Amino acid sequence: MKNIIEIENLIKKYDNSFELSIKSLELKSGTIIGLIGENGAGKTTLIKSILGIINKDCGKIKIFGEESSKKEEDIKENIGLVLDNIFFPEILTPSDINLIMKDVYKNWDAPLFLQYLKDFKLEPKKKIKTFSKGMRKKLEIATALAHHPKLLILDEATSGLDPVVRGEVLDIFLDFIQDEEHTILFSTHITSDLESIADHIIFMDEGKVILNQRRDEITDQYGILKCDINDFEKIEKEDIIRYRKNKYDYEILIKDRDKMKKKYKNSVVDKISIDELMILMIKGEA
Amino acid sequence: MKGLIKKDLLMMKGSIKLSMIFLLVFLVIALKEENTLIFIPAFLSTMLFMTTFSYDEYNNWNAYATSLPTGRKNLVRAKYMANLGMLVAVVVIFSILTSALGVISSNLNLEKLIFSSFGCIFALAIFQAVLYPFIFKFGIEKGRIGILVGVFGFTGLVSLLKDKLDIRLSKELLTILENNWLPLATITTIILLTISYLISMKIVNKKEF
Repeated sequence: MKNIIEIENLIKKYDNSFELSIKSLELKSGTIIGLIGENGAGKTTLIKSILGIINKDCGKIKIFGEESSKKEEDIKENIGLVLDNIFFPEILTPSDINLIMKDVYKNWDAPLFLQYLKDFKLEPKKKIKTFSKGMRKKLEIATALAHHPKLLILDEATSGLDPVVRGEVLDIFLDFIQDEEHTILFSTHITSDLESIADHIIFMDEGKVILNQRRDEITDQYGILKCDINDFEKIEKEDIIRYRKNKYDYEILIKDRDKMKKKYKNSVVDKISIDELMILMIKGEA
Repeated sequence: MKGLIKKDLLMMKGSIKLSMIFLLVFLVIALKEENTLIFIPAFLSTMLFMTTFSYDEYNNWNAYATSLPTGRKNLVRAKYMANLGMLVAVVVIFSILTSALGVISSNLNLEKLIFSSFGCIFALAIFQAVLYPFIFKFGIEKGRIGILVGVFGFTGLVSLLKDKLDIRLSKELLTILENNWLPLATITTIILLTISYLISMKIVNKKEF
């Protein structure tokens, strides 16, 4: 698999002391990459740096093998975007967007865009401001897909959508990824969406990548060990990645589930969801 | 860039009805007041165009536009071109209409009409040249305040200096200016617009959306 995005020594500092700092990150083509982390972890800053919406302090970002600042136009021709609260002025209509985008993207496919509008039941002549949040998201997704991009960058693309619409949208993303040349970078708070579609998870905290692994490896290897205070004291320190004390028991993030099951027979070792992993990694004690 | 210009013009289609009403009112006035009423509709069209900045800001359009193949360069260029294009179009339409009315009412003063039309384009293009870097730097709301402070401050300063230093232009210089106003105004406007565009470009290149 080719690298679709390569990042080296990326640094972006803000006055409020937040710093995005990524030593090395490679995103492979033909996959859905889930970008997770709590609010302010640096997900949007990373996406904005990739897209050049903000200027990086230093580092290299290559997209499709080309440095992003050099072949900007060609690179952006192949990127579809759904960004959080960033879109066309709401005084415009989907028909206007169609007219505008014909002159923005070389590959703009007007019949495909109109088909998406039909499928999503979006009135072409209605102003965006009359649309509900879900309808707006659908319009953003239709706009992102209608120029046949190779890379889809989605920032909170499913937030605010009801479960039915979310399901429909996720199906569209799964359709998109059927082509091996296609890649999705998907930043979200709704980790359940990633459980069903992501191939790879990048977990960010305080501006850094703290976990970068295949989703199946995460769910196969990591586990959550539940025990009472007595058993907790018997657990070896090196087996504990993070732990959290609840009212009646302890939850411990462990690696190598099978080994832990054999080692601590009195405790329950369960599979871990991405949500639980995120909570324990961020809120748990080391 | 064509797509971005189209976007600004499509955003203004909602103002067409309002503009048509203005058009009728000004045409009626133009019938009585000779050929001097081109400035007001041209100024109003420039002001209406400013609303596109407000809508852009409200929906973070600039961040989206930066991510499109058109990039930052065309984001700035399209605004200058769309506003200038619209200004010229409005002035041309009103010049034709007023001259037609002038012919009908046998009241046409062609020299005055040409002077008003060009003067109007130059004045509003310079207004745009001064205003845009402020808008790109501070946003439309703060930019407007900035320009008000700037314009009044500059006018105040000039009148103060004029009174204090008793500056007067020589007759020769005034004659040269009068005889060559068209090329001089054209060159001045082009220079100011170019400087303004380069400043705006620099601002937008550094800006984080």
